[in-house]
Amino acid sequence: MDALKPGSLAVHLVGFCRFLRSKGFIVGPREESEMFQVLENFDLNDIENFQLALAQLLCKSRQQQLDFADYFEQFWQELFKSFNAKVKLSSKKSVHRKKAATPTTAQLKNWLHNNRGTHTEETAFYSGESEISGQDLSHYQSESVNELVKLVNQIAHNWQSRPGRRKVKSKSPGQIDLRQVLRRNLSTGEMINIAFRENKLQKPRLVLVCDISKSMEVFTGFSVQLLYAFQNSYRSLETFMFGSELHHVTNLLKQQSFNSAMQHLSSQVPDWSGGTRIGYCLDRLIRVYGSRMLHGRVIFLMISDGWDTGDIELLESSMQYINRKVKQLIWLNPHASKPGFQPRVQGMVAALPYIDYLHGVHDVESLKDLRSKI
Amino acid sequence: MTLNEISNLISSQEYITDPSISMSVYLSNTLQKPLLVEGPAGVGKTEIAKVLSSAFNTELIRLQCYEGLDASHSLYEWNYQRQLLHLKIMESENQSIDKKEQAIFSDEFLLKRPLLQAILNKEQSPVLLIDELDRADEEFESFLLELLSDWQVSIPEMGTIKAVKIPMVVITSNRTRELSDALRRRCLYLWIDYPDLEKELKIVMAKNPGINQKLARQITEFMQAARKLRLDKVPGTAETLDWARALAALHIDHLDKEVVSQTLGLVIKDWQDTRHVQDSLSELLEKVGVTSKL
Repeated sequence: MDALKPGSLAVHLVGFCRFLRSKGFIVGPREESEMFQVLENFDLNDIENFQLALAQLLCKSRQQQLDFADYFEQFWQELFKSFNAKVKLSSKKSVHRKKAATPTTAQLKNWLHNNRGTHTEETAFYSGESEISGQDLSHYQSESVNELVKLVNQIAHNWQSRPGRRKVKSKSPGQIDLRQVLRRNLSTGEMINIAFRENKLQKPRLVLVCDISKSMEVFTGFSVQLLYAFQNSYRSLETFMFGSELHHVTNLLKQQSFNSAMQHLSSQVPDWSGGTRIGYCLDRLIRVYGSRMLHGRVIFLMISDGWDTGDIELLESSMQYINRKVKQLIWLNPHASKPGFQPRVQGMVAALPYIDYLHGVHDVESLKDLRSKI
Repeated sequence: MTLNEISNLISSQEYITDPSISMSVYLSNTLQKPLLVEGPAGVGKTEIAKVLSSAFNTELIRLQCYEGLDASHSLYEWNYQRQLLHLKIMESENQSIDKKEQAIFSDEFLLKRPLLQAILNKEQSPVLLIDELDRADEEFESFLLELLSDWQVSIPEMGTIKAVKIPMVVITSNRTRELSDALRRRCLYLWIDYPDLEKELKIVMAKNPGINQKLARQITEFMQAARKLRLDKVPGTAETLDWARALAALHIDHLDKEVVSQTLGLVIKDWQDTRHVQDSLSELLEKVGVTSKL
């Protein structure tokens, strides 16, 4: 900090806030003003406390806290380099593991484009490397996404069944709404006009897990659209993608436009068209998110062809666990809509006893079919 | 108050703090912003509010969230039965509707729930604990926004009520669902994870001053190892403390397979987890340096 000229720190702090904003942090003028208010009373030579104060002020989630150390180091190191000054930042190592090289949006688009409509040979393999090689995002414009949104809404409507504890107004006689009764009859003093209320119906929560490995490459364009449609039409939903690693993509998909969501996905999910470790990824999901996301009010939707070269026993035990925890386990296998489909791949065979409902979904028509059956 | 003063104040309440907890409390106190605490169950999130209340010697007002919680249970409710009675009594009096309305929607008929109690406290800023907010619906979360940013609430019949003293607000969440960005923006964020071995040992020693040191270490080492298993309900610090208290009460000075088997119910709260831990018991005990003779 000493290397900075007096008066310029404020400018750099604002720059740091902008940098964080570009990384998805919610840092607005209010946060900036609070930051200055707090830092007035801080010894700025105490880097550790300075960093901790900024982290506590500017991070609004666990993930942001994990990323903060990297961003802090990155920003100030770059700044100090540009000042050509020798400043030693805290040597404390970042707890956040380095991300694998991520494909650019252009690469992803190129990959989606080239593979659209081509039917690659299904190959199951595990590889740490991911590749970008097929289908065009631009072919899947918002019209088809909008159609999917409508279909998803119709599917979701069927799930709206369980009465919650929140009360809403009701026309049919039931529980009397005293508040409304009093308001309606205040002018007369007689309790003639009776109002009723009932329990509001609640939709179950969804956990959506989508395979984006090499063997699913042909269907990735449709799968991504489907995920976007679910994420933006269904309220209580957590979305994951996996290949050889598991990625929590709920926030990446919550974007105003489909293209923007794709941009976020392409820049932050490194696993496109790589290997498949279903068991490992489900195990990760259970360990990291299981306690809060898997419970009796959840419908678990898995989109995968079941090709897996990982640990099959782990896949089986994970499926057994998920089946025990959730309300319903639905597996959407793109191949299952083909005539004469038999679940023969070992991942599918291992998972089958724990699936409540297996259905083929690979395009809009098959989704309509799902809507009519579910 | 300075950061050090806050840190000392928390420590004086036998709460083993760390820099991020002290910093969050300090910032929350300085900026008068709510503190959103997330983390697994049983790591001491709720305890922070209790400690603050005790440290600042102020009232703790707790709002336990649940599905279906709404304004009438959290903010205020009119005492309808009394209002109806009052209306009946007033029937004979020839009063205008306005007068009647004024009479029945007055302070006398208002049932103050935790949120209203917290902002109407005139003497000292109370600690308002909004516990397990993730259990409440999104609608309730949105309802909280006005209170958390402007420290005021609107009661249609009475108008806007502003906080007399801004309460210290602690919101906890077990992350069964993600809280909204709007709420997060209004809060400072603190994540509390399972404590590491040394911190957990300090907690056990602080909460059970008379406990055998060897036993305390064995308990914490066992808990650290058990958390690495794939358990449905991972035991938190609360379970560690319960177990330590129970073993100390039983005058046990070291762990062995029999003791662990007999008291496992204090730590593991799920039958499949119990089976899992029992299957791995020898391995777990080996990790804490106990060799089984059975």
